[in-house]
Amino acid sequence: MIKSITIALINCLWIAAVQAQPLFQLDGQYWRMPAIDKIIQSYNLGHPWQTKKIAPIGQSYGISAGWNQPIYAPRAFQAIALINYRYQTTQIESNVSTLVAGFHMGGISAHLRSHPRCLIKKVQETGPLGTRWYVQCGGGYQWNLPFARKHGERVTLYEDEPYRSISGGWQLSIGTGWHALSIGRVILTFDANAYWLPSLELNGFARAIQGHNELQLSERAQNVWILQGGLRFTWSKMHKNWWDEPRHGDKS
Amino acid sequence: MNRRRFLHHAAWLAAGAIAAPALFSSCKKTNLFESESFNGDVIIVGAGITGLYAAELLIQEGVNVRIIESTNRWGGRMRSLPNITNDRLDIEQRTVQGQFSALYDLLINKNVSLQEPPLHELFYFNGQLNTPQEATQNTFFLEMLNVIEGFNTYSGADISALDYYNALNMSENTTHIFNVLTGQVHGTSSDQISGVGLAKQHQAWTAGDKKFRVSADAIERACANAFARAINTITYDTSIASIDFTQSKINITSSTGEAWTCDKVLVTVPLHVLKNGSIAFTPSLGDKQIQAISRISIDHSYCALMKLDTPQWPLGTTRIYGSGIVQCFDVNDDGWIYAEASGTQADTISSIFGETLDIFKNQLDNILPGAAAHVIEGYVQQWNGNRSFDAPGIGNSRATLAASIGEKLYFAGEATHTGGHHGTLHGAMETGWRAVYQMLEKSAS
Repeated sequence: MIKSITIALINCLWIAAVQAQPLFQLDGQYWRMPAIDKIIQSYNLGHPWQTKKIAPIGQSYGISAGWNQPIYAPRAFQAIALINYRYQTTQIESNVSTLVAGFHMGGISAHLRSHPRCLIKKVQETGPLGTRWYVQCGGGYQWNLPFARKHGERVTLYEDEPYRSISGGWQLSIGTGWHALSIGRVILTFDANAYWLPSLELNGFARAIQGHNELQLSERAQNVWILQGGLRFTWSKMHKNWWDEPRHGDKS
Repeated sequence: MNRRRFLHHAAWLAAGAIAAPALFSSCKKTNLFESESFNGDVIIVGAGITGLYAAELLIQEGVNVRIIESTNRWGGRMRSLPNITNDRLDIEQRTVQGQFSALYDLLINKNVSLQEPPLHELFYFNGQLNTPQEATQNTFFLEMLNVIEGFNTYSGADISALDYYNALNMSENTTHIFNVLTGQVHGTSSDQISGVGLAKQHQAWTAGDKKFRVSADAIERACANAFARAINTITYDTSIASIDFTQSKINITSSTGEAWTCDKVLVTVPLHVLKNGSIAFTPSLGDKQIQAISRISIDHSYCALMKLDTPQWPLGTTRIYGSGIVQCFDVNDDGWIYAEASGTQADTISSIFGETLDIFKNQLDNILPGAAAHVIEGYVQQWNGNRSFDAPGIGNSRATLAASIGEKLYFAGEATHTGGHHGTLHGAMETGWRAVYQMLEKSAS
C-alpha cells in the first residue's frame, strides 16, 4: 500500500515536473504611496536653497523567477509561483551634495491563472479560446529594506550603525497578460498586474531622509498600489501543452 | 515567427514596460504644498536661525512674512559673542554637530568648508596637565569615562548626572571633567542636567556622529545667502509686548506701541524670554504650556574669547579641561582661547565681584601659571539663556510646547525640539521646519 502510494506520488511529481514551465520576468512598476511621497516632498520643503528638487519614489524595476504549473485542465487553471526582487530609488545631486534614497523589496507570491472564458464555462464548452490571453490573481508576502545615503555616506540613525530596517507585509494582485509570441520553446508574454499592499512600513525612513522627524510624518503607507508591466520569458518543455497549443479559431 | 521578429517585438515590449512607470512617476509632484495654499500673513517673533529659516520656507511657499527682532542684528544665538569687533568676526568657532542635518546640507551647499578637527586634549587633574595617554593611566579618570558612557543607556532614577556620579562614590579628582562632558557641553552643569535626559537625547539622536568646527562668521555668511529673502523682512530693535489671538486676526503689539495684525504667529524667542513673561498672551497660555515652559530648563552662561601674544600650551593642543569655575578652554596655535561657564559655574561667576574677563584670566592661570599675563585682547558675553537642556522631571514638556494653539499660535526654537536635537543649531532649524509644516498642512488639507 505504502509502496503504491509512493509510486503514485513520484509519478505525480514527475508529471508535474515535466509539465511545469520555468519562467523569468523583467518588469517595471509605478508606485502609488502618498505617505512615503510626503517624506520626500517634505525634504524639498526644508531645502529651499537647493535648486534641484528630489523626486518622490514613483518607479521601480525588478526581476522575477518562478514556474507555471497546470493544476486543473477543465478550467485551464495554472498556478504560478514567483520569487521577485524590486529596486526603487530616487536621488538628487548637485556639485556639493547628494541624497540617494530608496528601498529594496523581495517577495514570494503565488498566482492563479486562466483564460477568462474558462472562469464561466469548462474548456470543452467554450469553443475557440484564443489561448493567448489570460487573467490572473494572486497573493504573496514581501520584505522591504529601505536605505539612504547622504553625501556618499550611509545614513546612521543610532551611533555609527548604518540605517537598515527590514519590514514585511502582505500583498494581493490581479492582472492580465498576453502570450505575444513564441520561438522554439520560449514563449514571450506581456504581463500586467496591479498589486495592493494594505500597508508598507519603512521604519526610520523620514528620519533617514530629513535627519529628524519633527514633522511627525508617518513612515507607514497604507493602501499602496503598484502597477506593473513586464516581459515574461517562459520555457515550455513540452511542445504540446494543452494551454499553448493553437486551437481552431485562435488568432495567429 | 522568426527570430528577428521575435527580438523586434521583445525590444518594443521591453521599452514600453520600462518607459511606462517612468512616465507615470514623472507626474508625481515634488512640492508638498500647492503654491499659495495659504494666503494669510505670518509674523515671526525672533530673527535667530529658527525664525530666518521658517520665514524662508514660508516665502518659498508664497506666504507673506514679517520677522520682528528685538535687537539690531539677526542671528540670535548663532554667535556667542555678538559684540565682538568686526575685524575679529571670523575668530569665534562654533560646533556643527552631525553630517545628516539640514544645517550641514546648507553649509556645504554654500561652500563652507567643514572639516572634523583633530582632537588634541589635555586634562587638568591631580595638580597637573595630563595628556590622554597619561590620563587613561589613572583609574579614577577611566571610571569617570565609564560613567559617562553609561549614560547612553541609563534608565535608572530621574536624578541629575552629578547626583548619580556622587551616588557611585566616584573620585572628586575628575569631577570637573565629568561636569564639562555631561553638563557644560549642553549649556549647563552636571548638577542640573538629568541622567535620563542624557540617555534619551543620545538614543534619539539622528543627525550623525561627526562634529565640525566652523567659524560663526562662516555660518552667518551662509545664512545671509540662503535666507536673503527672510532677512529683508526683518523689523529690528522691536520687542514684542503682547500677542492677542482671541479674534480671527491676531493682534501683535510692541513695547513701544507699534501694532500689527496677522493670521498666524510663530514665536521663536529663547526660552528664557518666555519664562520671564516678557510677552503677554491673550488669552493666556494654558496650564500645560505654562508648566512646559517652566519644566524645560535653560541656564545662563558666560562666554569669553581671549588672545594671547604667544600660546602657553603645547602647539597642536585643541582643548584643555581645567578646574574650578571655568572648566574648559578651546585653544589654537594662534594663541586664541574660547571658554564658557554655564549653570552653577556661571552662578559662581555672577557672585564674584569684579571684571568677568579677569575671572576667566584667573581660571586660566590656575592651570597654566602665568598665562593670564600674556592675554592681549579679550571679549566676554553673558547669555541669560544659552541653550535648553533636560533637567529631572521634564517629561513631555518639549512636545507640549511644540503643539500649536488654535492653529494660530506656534512655538519653535531649539527648546521645542522633541527628537533629541535640542540645544543645537540644526535642532533649532528643524523646529522651524516643523512649524511651517504645521501651518501649511492645516491650510492645505
